[in-house]
Amino acid sequence: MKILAVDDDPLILQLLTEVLRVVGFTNLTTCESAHDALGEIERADVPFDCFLLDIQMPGMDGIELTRAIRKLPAHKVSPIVMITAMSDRSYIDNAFAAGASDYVTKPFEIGEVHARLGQIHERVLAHKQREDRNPVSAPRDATSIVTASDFQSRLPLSDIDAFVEYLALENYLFQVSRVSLFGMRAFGIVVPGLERAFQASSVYEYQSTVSDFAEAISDCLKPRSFLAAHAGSGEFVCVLTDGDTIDPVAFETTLCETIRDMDLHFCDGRAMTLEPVVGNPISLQLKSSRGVANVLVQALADAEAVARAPRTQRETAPTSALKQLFGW
Amino acid sequence: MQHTTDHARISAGLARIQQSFLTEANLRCARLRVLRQQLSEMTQDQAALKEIGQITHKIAGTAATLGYPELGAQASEIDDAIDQRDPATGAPSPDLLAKIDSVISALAMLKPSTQV
Repeated sequence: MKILAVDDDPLILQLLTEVLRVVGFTNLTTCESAHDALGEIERADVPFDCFLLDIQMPGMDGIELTRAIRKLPAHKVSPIVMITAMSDRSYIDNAFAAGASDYVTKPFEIGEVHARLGQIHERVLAHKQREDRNPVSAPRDATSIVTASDFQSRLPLSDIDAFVEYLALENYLFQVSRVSLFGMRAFGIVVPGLERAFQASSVYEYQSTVSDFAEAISDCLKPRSFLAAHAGSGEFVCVLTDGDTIDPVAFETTLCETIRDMDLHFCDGRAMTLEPVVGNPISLQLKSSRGVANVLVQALADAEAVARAPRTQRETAPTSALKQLFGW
Repeated sequence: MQHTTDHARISAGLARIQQSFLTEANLRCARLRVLRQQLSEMTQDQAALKEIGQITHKIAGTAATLGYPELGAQASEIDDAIDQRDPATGAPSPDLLAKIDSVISALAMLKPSTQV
């Protein structure tokens, strides 16, 4: 795994070199500034597989560097791990919103760095195996028919405001659970019938539609502070990060109207009539770290349950103070 | 178990980095003394405070991993206090100045030959 580490403290770079060498990650390049890092990335004959970035650096900081790396076509989904002493919620929020995949706080535990890099290495290997089976030199025909595997894939959708990879959203929740989950809520959105509607469609058509739905979700959630991710097929999870909540019924109405206004059509000219269903927000405030790990799954399960219930039986806005506070 | 094994394997490398940390600690201690003196002479020297924040930020990032958790925690408190401080509040508080003095004292006690 080819790694680029960026930190303005040479001691941290020495430490990382040593810590990574022991577990076999010897292909490590180090830089003391974001400017130097961008130069290394541009000059690399073989692209880097993973980035380890400090946040607080003179000149361009690590969050700006993350944005710059994510704009490069070769690094839309490359793992970016922030290794930083900045443990405040605002830094964590900004780093993940910029495209970070994971976050380790300094002073770091050597075992923790090994564990995180080990997970990333497995991801990089899996990604390379997929590319070997489906090399970039012979890209899959965009008109090929969508398969079950395409439906299961979680699209990164990193070009859409506040959308991050599903795994990054899990890592974000784990990280903030160590600081404060105050005022945070998660909810799921499902699009019933999406797989059936796209069974004979092209990969391009299916992925474009998922992207259109994500765009609509992002537009409707603004100006709230949030992060969202595609969870595969027609499923999305959203995390409200700053004390806001939604009335699921009202939000669903707005979202459906936004999607109708987009006037989506299949390639054969048929109008698309798919409508998303919004689950109830789940408060994260009293969740343990373990509870937080399951919250995205719970949010999706709730949205699926709501989708199965007849519309007339659906609940309206939360009413009691307890419900407002805890999401019961 | 794996963690323990890895730790043992990197102990030699860590010892070398500890020496770099201790050498650097002497330089940082000297610079912090100069900046602290500047704060005594001009209590609202924002540039001096900013540089103290940068130095303690770096100490906070490595000290605990290299075997100096208390020094790291003290440096982290100063880093946070300066990061969250509104420059308009004027002179740094006596509490912040005492913490800076404490880190200078702790750094002064470190010697490059020290084995941890």
